Amino acid sequence: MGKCGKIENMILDESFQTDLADEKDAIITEHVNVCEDCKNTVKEIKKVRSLLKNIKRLQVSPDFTDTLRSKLESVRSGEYDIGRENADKKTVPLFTRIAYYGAGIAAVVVGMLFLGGEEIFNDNNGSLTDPSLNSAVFANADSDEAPVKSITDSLKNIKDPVKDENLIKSVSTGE
Amino acid sequence: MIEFKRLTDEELMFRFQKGDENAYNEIVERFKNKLLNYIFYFMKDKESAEDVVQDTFIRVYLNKDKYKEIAKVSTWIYTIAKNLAKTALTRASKMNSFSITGKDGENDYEIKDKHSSTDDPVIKNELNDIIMSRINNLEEKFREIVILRDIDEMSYEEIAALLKIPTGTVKSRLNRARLNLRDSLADHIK
Repeated sequence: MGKCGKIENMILDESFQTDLADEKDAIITEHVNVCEDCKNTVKEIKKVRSLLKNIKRLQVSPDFTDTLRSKLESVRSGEYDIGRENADKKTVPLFTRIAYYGAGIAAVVVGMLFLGGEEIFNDNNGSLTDPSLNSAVFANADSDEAPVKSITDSLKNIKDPVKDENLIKSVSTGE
Repeated sequence: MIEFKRLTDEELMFRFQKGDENAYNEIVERFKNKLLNYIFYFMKDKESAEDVVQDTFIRVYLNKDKYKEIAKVSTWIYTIAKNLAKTALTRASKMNSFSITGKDGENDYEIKDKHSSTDDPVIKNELNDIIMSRINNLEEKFREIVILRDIDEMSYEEIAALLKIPTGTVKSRLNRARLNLRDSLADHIK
């Protein structure tokens, strides 16, 4: 800020609503005639505007119009239905989608509880909570193929609930 | 023969609504680069920005009958483009597990290198890159106004209608944006 700062303070005040680079304002004109600092401020702001006006604008690619034309042809022929795509999104509001996801997750949880009961979660000898699953995945995070093998290996450690005799017994006896 | 270049945006739109596709082509010609410059500062990527601009023109084509002359054509088209850009950004942020932006107005990235590469004739000198970078670092509410006014050369009234703010606020923000840029470009304006 210059020594005076009157114009800068005016700019920072949102109630000052004159475009300094383009419009005349009596108070400003009167002040800059007697204040070199503020005169420079206005000059610099005009310089900024001049720089911005002369900046190189981005141009669309040479094939822009051809691509647009072919997209429009697809729209006409029904291959590229941007309107339908949009309409689909509008017909499934966020709340509905959340409700769908929630219902799906609830169904999976209920299903797991119904089929496996506590046996699946409490089985320390190998279960869905098997820590080797995580370690196998993270240990091979940098490899492209190894994780698949490691995950499959870990899955071998998981007891098949259907073949687990103890589990069958507990389910059939209701214990 | 009609000279489309002499027609206003609204006259072109009216002709297009009546089925004149040449009027549509003129609208595309008139707005394609301006929209690209506007959308680029949302997308930070020319290719993505161009996709958004193309989708904008497809929407204009499909929804031409929804345009009513109570609004300026430019306001209508820019609004479509802005909404599409925001949707694209939301989708992109959901797809990426990492964030590329900081808080509003505190961008922690620079414009991608590919836009300043020597084989891209659009941006080739250092000062241009610096100015674009400084614009990029402005708070969104200032950045948008500077682009609309100083780069896309929209009127105060068009900007006010697009951003749904009073004309006086447009001017006030312009001053503040330029003051900010004066400080960040201090070495280049003396």
